[in-house]
Amino acid sequence: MKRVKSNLDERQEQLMLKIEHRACWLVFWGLLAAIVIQIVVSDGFDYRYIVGEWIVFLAQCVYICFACIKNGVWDRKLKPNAKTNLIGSLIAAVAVGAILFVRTWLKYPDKLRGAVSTGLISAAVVFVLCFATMSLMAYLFRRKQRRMEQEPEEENETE
Amino acid sequence: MEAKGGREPLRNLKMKFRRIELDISQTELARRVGVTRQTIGLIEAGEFNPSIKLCVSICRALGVTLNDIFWEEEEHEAGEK
Repeated sequence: MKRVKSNLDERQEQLMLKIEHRACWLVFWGLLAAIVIQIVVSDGFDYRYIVGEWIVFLAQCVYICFACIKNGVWDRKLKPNAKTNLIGSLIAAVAVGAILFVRTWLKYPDKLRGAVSTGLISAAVVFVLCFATMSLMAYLFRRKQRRMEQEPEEENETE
Repeated sequence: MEAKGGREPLRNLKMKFRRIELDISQTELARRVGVTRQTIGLIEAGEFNPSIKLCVSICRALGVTLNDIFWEEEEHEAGEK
């Protein structure tokens, strides 16, 4: 297939990448905020209402994770270790626990203990799932990095 | 990459002088190299670091070598650090 010539020079290409980068994270956090707001404030909430947003959000997450691992890059600041996984999982667990606690409490104001239990149980489940997923991703990343390091130098050279 | 931070950007005066010497406008040089006039302006102002590929294209268009317009003198480099 014939490649279409770009109208942009290298400076404009870099600017375009920056703009697209910002747009990508705007969509990421915007979708997450939309999902959370709908879960918390919608009266008579049904999970079918957010299926579209959820699919797009998860597709973006999965793409970012696997594209990074495939290319042997992790994060600009965080390291792929147990401490990062623990902190990340705790943040996710607290956030999900709090959201589900608030939602349950708003729906059943007279059942505080039930709301607390919902929050705690969901936080625990999210923590375990998140920690397992992050550990798996870190393992896959380290394995990919090891393979890239072992590649013979000749294979990296292009003519 | 655009130059950022509080440091004064290092202007590429050698490139600018060579262009003026050949009596070529930024627009004409940009056309010959295949970039926009703004890109040439930003390189001359030291606010955009071109790739080696673009440096070579600019050198070809100006009839000079990389050393002639993109090599920094020692004191210049020390000033940057």
